[in-house]
Amino acid sequence: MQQQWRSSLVQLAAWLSGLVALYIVTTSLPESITSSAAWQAVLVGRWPWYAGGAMVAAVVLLLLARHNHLLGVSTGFSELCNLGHDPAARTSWRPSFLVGVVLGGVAAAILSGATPSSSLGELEMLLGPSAMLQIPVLLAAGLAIGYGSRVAGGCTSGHGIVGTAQLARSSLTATSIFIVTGIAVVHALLWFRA
Amino acid sequence: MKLNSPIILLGTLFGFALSRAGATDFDTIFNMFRLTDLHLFGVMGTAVAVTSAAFWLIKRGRLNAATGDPIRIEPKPMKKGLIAGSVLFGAGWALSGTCPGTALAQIGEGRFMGLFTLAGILGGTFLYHWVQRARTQSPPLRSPSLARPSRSS
Repeated sequence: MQQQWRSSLVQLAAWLSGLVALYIVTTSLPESITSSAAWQAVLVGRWPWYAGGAMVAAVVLLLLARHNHLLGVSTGFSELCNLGHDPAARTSWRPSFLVGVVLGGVAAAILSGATPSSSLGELEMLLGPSAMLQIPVLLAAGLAIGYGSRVAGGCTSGHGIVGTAQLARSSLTATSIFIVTGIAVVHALLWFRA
Repeated sequence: MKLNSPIILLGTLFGFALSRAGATDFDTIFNMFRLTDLHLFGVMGTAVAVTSAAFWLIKRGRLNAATGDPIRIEPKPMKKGLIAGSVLFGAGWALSGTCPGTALAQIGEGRFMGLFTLAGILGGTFLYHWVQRARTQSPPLRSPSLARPSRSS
């Protein structure tokens, strides 16, 4: 068991060092590179929808072709919560994937030169400008996402992409309800607040 | 718990993709639900289309994974509560502008408000399993007349 933790810590240390190195290299690049059209398009500006979608599919397919795993993020959260009870969860691939997603965000931020933001942007039209309201709402929304995804058996990755790609009845049902509910909730709250 | 770096790499690519696609931006999800910006529908639609085509090719070709075994593509089952759970999920997604995957990427990007959503997601997941365990551990209720041993035996 101790071997596992040591191996995990060493790997994490390696990944974090890599990200620190990425930060140092990126911030010391000359402006002629970081303001170039290529850099801006690939690492700063938002990708066109077909490129973003293609890359998401690429990752799903790489995961399947190399490791024979089907992507499902909320199941990963399930396993994280069951680490104490379920030995299978401790050797599962999903916690590693979830760690990776966080690191991917870090890498994206480093490469785009973006600074951390504490603003919810236009979502403040729903939640207001004050953190006193935003924080409890985000917590409650998270609870709904966490509980709801487990009851539904998946989230936007498992049902929304992998399941829908199979035209599975469960996923088509879940995904359409996810989206329709989201649209309804936003419209209802905006109307209410008006 | 043992981490697996090739898997971490794929997770990193996923987080990077979500970020570059604009899925981690609160505004983008909000405007998707407002139907004023259909960008994310395009992202999800493209992902589904490409994945679907690949799944078809894989099944048809009965391709093997790099592990040597046949690639397994299985649908999730219909389960009780799927509809109710999906409504809950949709509401949470709309109110937070986040889903489980993008919440993780948001943390990495430094959108620290996402920490509250993430805490909620963990809490909600944990609560679900706690309820499930509580349900399966409570002994089944038995009628008193059944518990009484029968005289004829």
